[in-house]
Amino acid sequence: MGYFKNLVKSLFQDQIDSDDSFVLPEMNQQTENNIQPEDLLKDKNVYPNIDVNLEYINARFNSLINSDIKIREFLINIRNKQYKAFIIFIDGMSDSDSINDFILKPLMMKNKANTYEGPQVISEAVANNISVRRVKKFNISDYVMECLLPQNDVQRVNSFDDIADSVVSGNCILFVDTIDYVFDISTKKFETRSIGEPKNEPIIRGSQEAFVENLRTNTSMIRRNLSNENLIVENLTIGKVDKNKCAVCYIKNIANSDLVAEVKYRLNNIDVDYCLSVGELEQFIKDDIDTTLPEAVQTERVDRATSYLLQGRVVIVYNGCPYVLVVPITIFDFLKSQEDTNINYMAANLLKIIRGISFVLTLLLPSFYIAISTYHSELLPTDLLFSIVSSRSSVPFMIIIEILIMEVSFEIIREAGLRVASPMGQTVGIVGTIVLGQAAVDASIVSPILIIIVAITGITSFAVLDISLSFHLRIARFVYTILGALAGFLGIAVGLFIHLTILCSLKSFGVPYLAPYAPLNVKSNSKYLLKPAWKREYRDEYLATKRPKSQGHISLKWRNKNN
Amino acid sequence: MNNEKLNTIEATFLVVIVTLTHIILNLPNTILKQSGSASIINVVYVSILTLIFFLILNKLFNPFSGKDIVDVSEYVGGKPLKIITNIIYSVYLIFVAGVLILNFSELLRLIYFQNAWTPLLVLIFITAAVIVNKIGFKNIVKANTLIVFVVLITVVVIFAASLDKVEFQRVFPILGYGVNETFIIGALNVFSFGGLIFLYLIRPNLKEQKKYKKVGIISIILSALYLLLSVSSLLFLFPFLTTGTETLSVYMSTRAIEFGKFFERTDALFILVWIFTFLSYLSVIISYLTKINKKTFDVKNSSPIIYIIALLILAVTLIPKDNAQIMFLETVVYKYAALIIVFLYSFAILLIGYLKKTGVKLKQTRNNKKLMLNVK
Repeated sequence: MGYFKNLVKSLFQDQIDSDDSFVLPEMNQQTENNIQPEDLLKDKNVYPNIDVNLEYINARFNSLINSDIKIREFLINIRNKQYKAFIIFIDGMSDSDSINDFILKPLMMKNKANTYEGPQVISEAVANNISVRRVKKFNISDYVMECLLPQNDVQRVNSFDDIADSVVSGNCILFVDTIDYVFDISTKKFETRSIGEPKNEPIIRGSQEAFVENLRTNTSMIRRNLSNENLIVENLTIGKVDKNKCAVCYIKNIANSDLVAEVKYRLNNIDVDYCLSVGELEQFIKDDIDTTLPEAVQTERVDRATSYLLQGRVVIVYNGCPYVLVVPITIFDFLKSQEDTNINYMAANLLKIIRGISFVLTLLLPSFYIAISTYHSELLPTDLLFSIVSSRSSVPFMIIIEILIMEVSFEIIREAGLRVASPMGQTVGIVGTIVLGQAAVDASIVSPILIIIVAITGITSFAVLDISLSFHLRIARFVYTILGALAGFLGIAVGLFIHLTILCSLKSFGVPYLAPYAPLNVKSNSKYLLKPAWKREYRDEYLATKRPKSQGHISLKWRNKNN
Repeated sequence: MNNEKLNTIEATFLVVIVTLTHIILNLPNTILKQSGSASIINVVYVSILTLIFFLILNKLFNPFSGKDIVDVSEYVGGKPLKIITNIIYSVYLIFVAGVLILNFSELLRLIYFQNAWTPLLVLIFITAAVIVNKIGFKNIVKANTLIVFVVLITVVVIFAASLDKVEFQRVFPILGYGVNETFIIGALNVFSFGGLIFLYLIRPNLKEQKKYKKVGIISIILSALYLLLSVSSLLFLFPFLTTGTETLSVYMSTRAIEFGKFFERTDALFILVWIFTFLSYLSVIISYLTKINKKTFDVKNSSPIIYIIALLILAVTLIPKDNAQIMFLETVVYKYAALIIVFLYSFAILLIGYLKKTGVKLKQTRNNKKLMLNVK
């Protein structure tokens, strides 16, 4: 009785927070009039007084509670004078040996350079027993830079913001008393994953290198693959709290300058605290924010990224993510594999046609099944129609319910299989298959023909290579299924027409999503099917590259024996 | 605005879509009834007439670079004539679109949705057209270009698939009901090229004004070719005297097609493609009506116009009480409306405009000569 009383009470009564419940204060009220402590620490430059700097650094890096922030104070003996100094670095991100051997040792140990007592005479003249010496003016900063830091990458920095960026990226910062700037010494060294094989874009022939999480490793891999001095790698920072690095890569004398400028403009104008992956970054820079369609290719393959660069596209490498973004793209880029260019063009075209058919089947097969079996059954041969009708005779649900049950179950199994640990994933798959297949048919929940439909739909969805596009197709498939159930081919046609018009309206960095088919360019060289390797004379014209031709008119010059 | 400019193929297919929609409905049937076994000759004849008409039209349009018929009307008779032309075009296009969509929806109802209410099917078409109009004119044109390609292929497939069943003897007697019926009264079949109406409207949207002639000629030839294919497949498949069916004549051809023993009836697939055609046609009509009304009445926001036009088309579809009225509107009223508006009214406006323009030019030249003489 008490349970029901409470249930009714909870249904009709407003929830009252108890006094001990935790409530977050409204941020707007709190921040309106109060100055945040971080604001006080911003936009400051290095002071000449080292004690002030140390105090500031302690506050800024919370060094009293941050266990991995290391500050080492010491004295430098220069020309018999002692200067206070300290270094700051993050343990685990910087190379300790390098700091010990090439920063602390030269600065702290006595050596010829810093014990030299005499004046540094540049020139000396004697006239009338009076000697006039020109002595080099002593500058401690130049002296440290030129004589005491045997490092290949040292910069002078005077903004605390820049110092903070350098420290968090693994550099060591040297503060010296009386100098109003610091020495930013490159000492990055942290554990990273070694270069491995592509897991999600495997190919049989071709390079087996995949990107890793480290930005510099990734850019170096691109540079190693693409031997051209015109390859530009420009660094940018994304995020205000997590200042993550990203690199914009393009080939200067191929990529369209406006395109490069637009990419940089968009990346420079993202006002977010953090952005953790390229997937997130893509959503910040895509043209049409409401669509579920991807507008940039994400690839983990170094050779694929390189080939896109050579076509005149821009590659965005993001620190901390083993995928890179490629822009601009068309929908047909999602149906390409790096394998295509490695094999004979006829074989590649066969694969491309199969992928195209898979694309259509995964999008429309369930909706066509429902439309044909409900409204247009005359399309089916009589024997097949009888077979379908008899197989459905024991199923108590309408076809739409049957399809939705199966599709949702399939999606659940797929999601569960992906998210659990890999040994468990297989188990989920097997259990799912048995439950979905045999048991569901035996229990007369679904008809056997529907199992075939859902299985084909599922398998064909794996033939669509890009996972982002696959997500779009999964969403659209549900819409088409409902439209097919509501109005048969009329519903599907209406859906396809609106879908097609939406696709026509999309752009990726100014390039039409359906180029070169909409707007139709009959003379285009970049059709869906591949030409032979020796006939790919032009780059995609919709990219408006600075170098439209990628091959000579006759690329196989060796065949022309007269030359 | 530059984004809304059309290339040659896009512009050509805008004109072709209108003829294709009529071909899918009753146009071949109407021509067959009119000219009997001489339908093929009649189609060739009216195509040549239309081509000549267009060449004259092109000549008359020459002084009005980048201007459509509404702009020419303004030049001829000022704002009042501009508004009158706009209203005539709007009424005509709304009427034609309404009747065609109603006819097609009625057919869909008869074939697949016996229990459905026809205006509901019409509403589905109109809703889709409104949605895509909100996405934008240029995107509709791009989609239309792709759709027309597919539709053109289906017409060829229908013709090719029915080749084994054709009887070429049905072309005899070669002059059908006689010379008079084929060439004099048959000349009225130029109404089949009602799609020419877009040639009066398309000029401001062309990327290159020089391509106007090319657009016109290609679109007329393509329309003529497909009309010829449809008429021939019907004529050779069914004896014209027994073609008693009043609806969807090309659909009759598709029902005769068999792809082996497995696929016995493929007509639903053709219906699927034709639904695209009608959706595209309706969307193009609404977008052009929106364009000319926006220009005439100087409206900034096009959304209200889209809704009003869509509602008016829906209203037109509610007028006919039965199938006979629909057929009368499509075959008789449309025929004469197309002849009067496309081939008479618009032509007259253009002719007057041309004469006025050349008159003004002549006057200017004379004045210049007089001035020169006075100076001398």
